[in-house]
Amino acid sequence: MTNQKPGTADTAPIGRRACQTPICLLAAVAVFSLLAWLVLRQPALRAQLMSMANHRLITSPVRMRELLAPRSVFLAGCSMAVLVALFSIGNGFRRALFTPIPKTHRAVFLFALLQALVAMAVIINLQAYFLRQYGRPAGLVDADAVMTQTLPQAWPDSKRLASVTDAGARVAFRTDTPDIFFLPALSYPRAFFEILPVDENALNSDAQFLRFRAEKGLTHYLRHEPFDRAHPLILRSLAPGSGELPASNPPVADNPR
Amino acid sequence: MNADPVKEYLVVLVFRAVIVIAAQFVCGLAVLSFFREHTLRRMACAEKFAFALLFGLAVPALISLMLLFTGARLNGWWWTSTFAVCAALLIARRGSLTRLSPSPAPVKPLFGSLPIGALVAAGVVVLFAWNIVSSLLLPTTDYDGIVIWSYRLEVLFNERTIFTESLRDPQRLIAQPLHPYLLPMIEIVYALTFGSLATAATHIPYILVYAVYIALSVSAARLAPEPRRCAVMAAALLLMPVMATGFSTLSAREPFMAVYGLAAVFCLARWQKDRSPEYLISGAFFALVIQQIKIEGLPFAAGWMAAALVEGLTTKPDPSAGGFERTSPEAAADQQPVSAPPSRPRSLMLMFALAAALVMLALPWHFVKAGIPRAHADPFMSDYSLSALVSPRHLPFVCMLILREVLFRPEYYAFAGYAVLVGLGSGWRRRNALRRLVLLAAPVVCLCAVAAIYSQRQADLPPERNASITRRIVVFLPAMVFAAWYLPRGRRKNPPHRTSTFLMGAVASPPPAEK
Repeated sequence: MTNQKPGTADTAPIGRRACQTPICLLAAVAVFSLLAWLVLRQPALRAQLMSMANHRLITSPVRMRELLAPRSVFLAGCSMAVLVALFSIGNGFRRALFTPIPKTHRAVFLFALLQALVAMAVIINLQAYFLRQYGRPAGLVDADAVMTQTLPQAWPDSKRLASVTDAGARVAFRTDTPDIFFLPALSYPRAFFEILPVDENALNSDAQFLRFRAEKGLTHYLRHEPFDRAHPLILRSLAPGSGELPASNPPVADNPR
Repeated sequence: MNADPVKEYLVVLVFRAVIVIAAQFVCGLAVLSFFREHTLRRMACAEKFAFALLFGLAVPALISLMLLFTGARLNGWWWTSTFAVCAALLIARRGSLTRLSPSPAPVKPLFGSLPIGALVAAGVVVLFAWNIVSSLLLPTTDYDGIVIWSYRLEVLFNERTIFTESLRDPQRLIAQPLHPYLLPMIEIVYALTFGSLATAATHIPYILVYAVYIALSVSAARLAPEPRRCAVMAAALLLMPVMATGFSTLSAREPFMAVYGLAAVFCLARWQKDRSPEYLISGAFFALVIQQIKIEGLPFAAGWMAAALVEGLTTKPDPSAGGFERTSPEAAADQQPVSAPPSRPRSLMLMFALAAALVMLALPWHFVKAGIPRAHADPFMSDYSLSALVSPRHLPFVCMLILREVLFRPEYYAFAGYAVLVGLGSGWRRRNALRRLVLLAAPVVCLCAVAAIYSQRQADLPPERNASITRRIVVFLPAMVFAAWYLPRGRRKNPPHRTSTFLMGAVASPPPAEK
């Protein structure tokens, strides 16, 4: 140890050296986790933290927490404590825990520790989300339930449409919501065209629509009202010879939300 | 007694998945077998694994994509033939198999004697476990994922061509017809093997790519010359949550691009160090892959090419710039540079040939794209119009937006954003400035493109659309962490401080008794 400089970890007084040990830094992170839990539990403080990145999506309607949830941070701290306790069974790790860290490397140690803490908290948070939302861990949740939760209108509506039209249906499509692509994408192989008639109650008198109908081989006209859960799909058959049929609503299931 | 049909089905699926993964790995190894002996001997085991899988995923998909562009109908035999050719190549070049085997030389520990490695490993295990569960069992739920990418996959699986009205009719409701098609081609090989578009089938590449990311992060961190920088880079890269969770909660494309982006910049750093042309060609290929995945990859690839050009024309290799610490005499010999620095005309020739090859590989998609009629109703088309000038009025706001995104989203990046800022602010020396700028070029050009897109969008789109900036930050952040902390520093006049060796595990003596 001839290279040792005065004032570095190994020559510091015993009390100070104790503070420079990994176990002390781990304890500091545990306290940080506890404090973070207390801070994040305060709605006002939490809102302030959220507003630091105010472009995040508003996720309250789906009860999904974008910021680390307080309980997750706390549980991550506990998990790390348990892991440290488990690792301490080995002599080498236990000895390392009580060996002072040079000043220049303490920041690195703390950074790595905080990264690990956040990573664990994120995963705990995600699992907590699935438990809260579906009552099951992520691995056991039905994919259909996830899709219904994510797309409460378009997903069940696409299934309804599939039950009343053939796979080769070619649909003139109208919706007033900005998300015009969900239903067409989910309803493949049914082809959706954005060909809007002047008056949807008089399709047969619209020359341009009739031209498109012949050109594209349209078989149905569909108006999608995703927020009207009683009659979300207003479907008309455009098959040749059938004339203009009255609106026929496919059977409507219970509102999934 | 009848066996459970569900179990049988699962066994068959696992068997098929293992076969495809093994075939892709063989394909990657066949590419690696063309690397020179010196280069392979200097590659760590994790690096070889990462390169083999990156090549194995992309090469057969790119070949099949080129065949698809000719108008041929998609066929599983394309992949089978590619894998068979690669296996034959590997057998023909079996002499190189010994070089492909893991190197026996010990490698530099990531955290030295700091007792943090176990906790970081626990964090990585937790992230990887989530990645596996979410990739195999959770469906795609992000907007673009459903509307564009799953739709494309379904069309390709059912109609076996991109020259179909389902993807090209301007009257059809199809979002974003102008993104490239490499990613669906990477996913579809599993769908073809499984015979269905099940989530478990099409999401397997996300697990492989995350495994590659871990291997690459470890290799990248070991490349850092200082133990402290090595530890920070390892912690920042390995424990960045979005790279594991992003596939299911955010978007699958951008983390995919991030891994290839990190690999491209990593290759540039390796090329800076020893001038092996294999690294230059590999890096260029990875940059091409990013460009073929999504439109944001274009500025990244352009930045990478410009950086490689500058590097090739201006600087010389510096063998003292750190790297793998090996203790065996053989490994010590490996520390010598592979080849003498090429002359400027030779560098120019190599660059020109590489650029020509890249353009030739990138052009077919642009011809195909030019043939796609512009959709008459696609509100997203204007978002990507890079021809529009950046609106300087919105630029300060967008810079703040990016800064807030990187610093205050721990659920995505943890504290990696702070690490980037500290890395960028430290370690600059006159001697290494140009090299650092070269490494930073690709991620910075991508960052500038993102800033340009969002400053233009401020005038056109509502503020809630700014939420999508997260996905675009993910594309370049890992590469930026690496570029900010990998420092081919200039030589110091003083010998390294003792604390530098502490992390290397070289100091085992007890503390001196106090006098």
